Amino acid sequence: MRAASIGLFVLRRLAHAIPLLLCVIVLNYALIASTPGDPVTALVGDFPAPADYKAQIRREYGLDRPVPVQVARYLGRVLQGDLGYSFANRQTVLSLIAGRLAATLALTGTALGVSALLGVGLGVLCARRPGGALDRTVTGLATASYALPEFWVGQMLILVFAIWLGWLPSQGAHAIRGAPAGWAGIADGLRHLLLPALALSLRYLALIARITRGAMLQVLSADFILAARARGAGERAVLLGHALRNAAAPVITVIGFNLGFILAGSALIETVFGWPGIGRLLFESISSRDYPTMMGIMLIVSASVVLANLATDILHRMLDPRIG
Amino acid sequence: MRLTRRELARLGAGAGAALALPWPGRAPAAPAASAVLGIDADPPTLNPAMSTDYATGDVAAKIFEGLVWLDRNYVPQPSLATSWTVTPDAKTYTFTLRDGVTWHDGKPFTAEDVVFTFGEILAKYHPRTSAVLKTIGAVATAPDPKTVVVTLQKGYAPFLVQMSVFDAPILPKHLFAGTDIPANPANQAPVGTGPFRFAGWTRGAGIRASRNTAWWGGAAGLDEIIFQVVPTPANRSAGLETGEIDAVVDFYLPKPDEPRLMRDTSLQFRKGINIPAVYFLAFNTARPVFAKKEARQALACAIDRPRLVQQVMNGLARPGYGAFGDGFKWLLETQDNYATRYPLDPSKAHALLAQAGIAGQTVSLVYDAARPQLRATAQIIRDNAHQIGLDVSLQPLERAVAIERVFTQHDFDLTLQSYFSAGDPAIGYSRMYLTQTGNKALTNATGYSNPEVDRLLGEASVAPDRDHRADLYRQLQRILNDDLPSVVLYDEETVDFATKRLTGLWPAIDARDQWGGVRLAAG
Amino acid sequence: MRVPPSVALAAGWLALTLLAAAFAPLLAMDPYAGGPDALLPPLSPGHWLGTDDLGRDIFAETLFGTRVSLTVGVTTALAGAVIGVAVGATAGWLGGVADAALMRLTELFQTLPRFVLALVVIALFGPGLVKVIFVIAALAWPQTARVVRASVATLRAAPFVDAARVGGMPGAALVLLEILPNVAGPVVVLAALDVATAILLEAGLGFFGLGDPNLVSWGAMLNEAQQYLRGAWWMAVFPGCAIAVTVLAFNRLGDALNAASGAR
Repeated sequence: MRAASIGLFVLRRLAHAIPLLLCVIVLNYALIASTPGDPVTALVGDFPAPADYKAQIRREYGLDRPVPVQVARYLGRVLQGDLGYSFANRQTVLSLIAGRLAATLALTGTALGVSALLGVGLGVLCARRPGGALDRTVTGLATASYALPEFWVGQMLILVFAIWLGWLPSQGAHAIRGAPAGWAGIADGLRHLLLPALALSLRYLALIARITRGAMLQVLSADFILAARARGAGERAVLLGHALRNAAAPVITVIGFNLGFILAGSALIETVFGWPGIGRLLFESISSRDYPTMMGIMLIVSASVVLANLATDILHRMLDPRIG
Repeated sequence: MRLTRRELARLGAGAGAALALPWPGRAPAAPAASAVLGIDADPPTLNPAMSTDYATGDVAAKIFEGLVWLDRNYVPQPSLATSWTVTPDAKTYTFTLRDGVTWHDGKPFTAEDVVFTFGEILAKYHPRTSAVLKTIGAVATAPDPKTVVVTLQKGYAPFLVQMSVFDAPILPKHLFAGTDIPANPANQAPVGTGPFRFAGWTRGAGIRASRNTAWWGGAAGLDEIIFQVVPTPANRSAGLETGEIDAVVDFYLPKPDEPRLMRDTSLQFRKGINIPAVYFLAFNTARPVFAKKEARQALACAIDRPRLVQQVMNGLARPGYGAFGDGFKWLLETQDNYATRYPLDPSKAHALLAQAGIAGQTVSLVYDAARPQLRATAQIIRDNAHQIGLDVSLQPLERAVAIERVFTQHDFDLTLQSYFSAGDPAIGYSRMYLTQTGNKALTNATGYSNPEVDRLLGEASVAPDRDHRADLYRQLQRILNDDLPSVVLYDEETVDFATKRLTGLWPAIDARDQWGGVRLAAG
Repeated sequence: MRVPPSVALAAGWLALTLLAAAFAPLLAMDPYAGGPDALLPPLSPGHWLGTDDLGRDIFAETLFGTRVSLTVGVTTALAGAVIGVAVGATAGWLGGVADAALMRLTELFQTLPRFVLALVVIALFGPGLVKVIFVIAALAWPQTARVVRASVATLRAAPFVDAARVGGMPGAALVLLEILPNVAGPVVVLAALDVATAILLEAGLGFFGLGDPNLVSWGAMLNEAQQYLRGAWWMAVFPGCAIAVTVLAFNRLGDALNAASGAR
């Protein structure tokens, strides 16, 4: 029974998400079509492409036809996986993005993991003794950290740890001549990952810590907690077993719905640290006026947010059957 | 407070041993004699006749060759041609080709390759040379397999200077004849005659070139050259400092890092103006504010060129000398130049401006947003102009839009540009001042048109005698320094770097050229 | 009512930045006027925060930077609030199809990644303060709309609304005069937080080189600082601190307003 109701829920949310995705794609095209100048430039980029290629683009995207035709054509191509061709990089946009995906996932995944685990952990600890020394310190630090622009944090980390102390590298995902093999390679990769992941996760961590603390405090004042304590349940059982499980739902919601945070932050952090991911690709494509790549990334990031929201919704539903 | 890398490495090594992590330091010397050269990105192609991309030329210069190569004084030296003769009217060039040269795939090199390259490849595809060949009506023929004769309709003084591997690389006819040249796979896996042969290309990582044992010049000093793609500019400087990269050409380095690298004792460098490039401010003389030359001269007196050199180029430039900069020593006009006419003098600038009848005004300054030097230059010019009552509105635009605004629409008051003129002023500088009635990009957007200047420029580009040319260019400077359709701000100096372990570096004017004689000392 | 010290500090800092923005020319030298004294460290004579690579005074630049940050921050927060209230009130009051449609629209705008969209729009349409404000404001309203809609929808069925309707008050006036004042609390809180977010977004755009080139902005200062990190740390530290403290102040203020109104 429960599986069926979850299944229905998933279907309903999918039915919700798909038009959203389509809207995102259409909006993308609206941006392309409304740029000043020739839309062919927006579809090809600032590159001396051969004239017949430009004519071909004009034909295929229906640039001389009415707008609904253009939108339909663009939609069709995107759904088939054709995001255009990047002259600056001599690859299709899709393969270009796919090639850089791993680096960005490594960075954002680490940042996400660190901020989620540390954030929840700190939030729980703070909720244990609200108003205590730890609580005040962590809350204060969290409030302050949330205000720091992450690219500035990145610059400061480079300044202190790479330039002044020389402990960690300041740029790139691996040593300049390529990653060494085996354990040395992993160590090398981790050394390069440390500062950017830290810079990226700081604000997110602050947010999660505060939300977790708030959610935990709310739950901890509920009746069933009193009952559990009265029954003699230990502190850890109360905190982790009962309270956290019930606070999980809102916390997961916050983590999931603010994923856009991390994605936006990664564009800035990857640029500061020269990290070879999609964020840096976005910066490069903006600098070189490689519009197809730029719009492709915009599309992929938006779609990711839609999907992340969908996943969060479903996860939330699974944790808290009252929703839906 | 700031410790040097070396001191910290020692401190850190202690702590590092505790953490058992590998520490930054010098990379161990490779067993074979291989050199790692840093480049900024994967080249779009490895065919130097199809693209003037800098990294393309970098790789191609080790694999291909031209009829000649240019030494540090721009004097052509024998490469694929061992000797040449020129008729007095400078319209017929006869090259005697070198014996015993083979392509990397074993086929012999003959005059047919040269004729084919000129007629089918350079004339049709080379971004710079095709226009030149068309203008001068150059035709190459091979009376015998060891001789090539090139006849020109119009005399062209820098002809020999354009026969280097960058402007006229010789390609193998047997691989390109009868094929779709732009789609030919040899563009990605090149076959040339040079000291190194193509050995592999891993996109995003690097390109390898290994020693060509059959090279006519004997054995190249290095076993292998690795072109390492390093996308982040800061990494290229860092790589030189840690020893992970052995050589980086100026083009790929961020200027602010160069003074620091020059002080690094493990590195050697070569500083100078190798390929003259002037950065200049062009006026739109068609608009009232800068229509009178006094207004333009006023701004010239207000712009602090030494400050531009110091702050924009970190001292690695020379302040504007005159209409053609000072990249070509042989044509400098010593009596009448910017130093004599336009020293930094705000009061004189005020007076000139008043003379032109221009009071406080807002003018637009258009430039390419992607170039940090232009951005910094624009900000200093705004500062300088503000002091004489001109309000400059900065308009950084993306390259294509900027080019359209300036050269097609002529919608600007001021614009910042930079032009190269490798080897000879006629190659790149004439276009700054020649009358331009059309909308050709990267030429003369000022609207300045002077028949006398046109005549002199035309004469100077064909006259065969260098002293006579110098005379003509001096006349031109006297006129142009006065009329001032553009103000040359500075000549860019370049500094190329390499580890001290490499010897035999940079015999040619272009740091990318002539690597056959480079050796790696043990250590 | 006892004001916590942090709130007092926050309000004090904001007052300072307002004064700085208003009286900048009187308080510091011309931020655009460089000179030969480039890359001077802090505590140099005449430049107590040092100078940048073109000789411009860091203190002056930081002071003048308040203008762009406050302008962008306050304008976008106001625009966001206005649009959010309009959309949310309409959806909440009308209900039904209009409500569903507007909420879908809200969800679309809430899903779009703000920073990436801003980057893309500015890259396509060119830099300029007006465009920056426009694109940031265009994505600032969804959260406000949601909150307003929820409140309006709930209050629509409240007795005092019924009474007013019976008394002959037209719908629009009803919403404006009776319902919206109840929503004012959360809207103001969100607006305060929005200012902070807008300042961070604008700084990010400036850092990417997409700010207005004719104006001094903290983000653009950080962009210049990137190349000189090794040699001139002050170019990065001071504008960054300015952003951080200003954003913190707005966040603190928002939090305090939230606590005071007892909304959540």
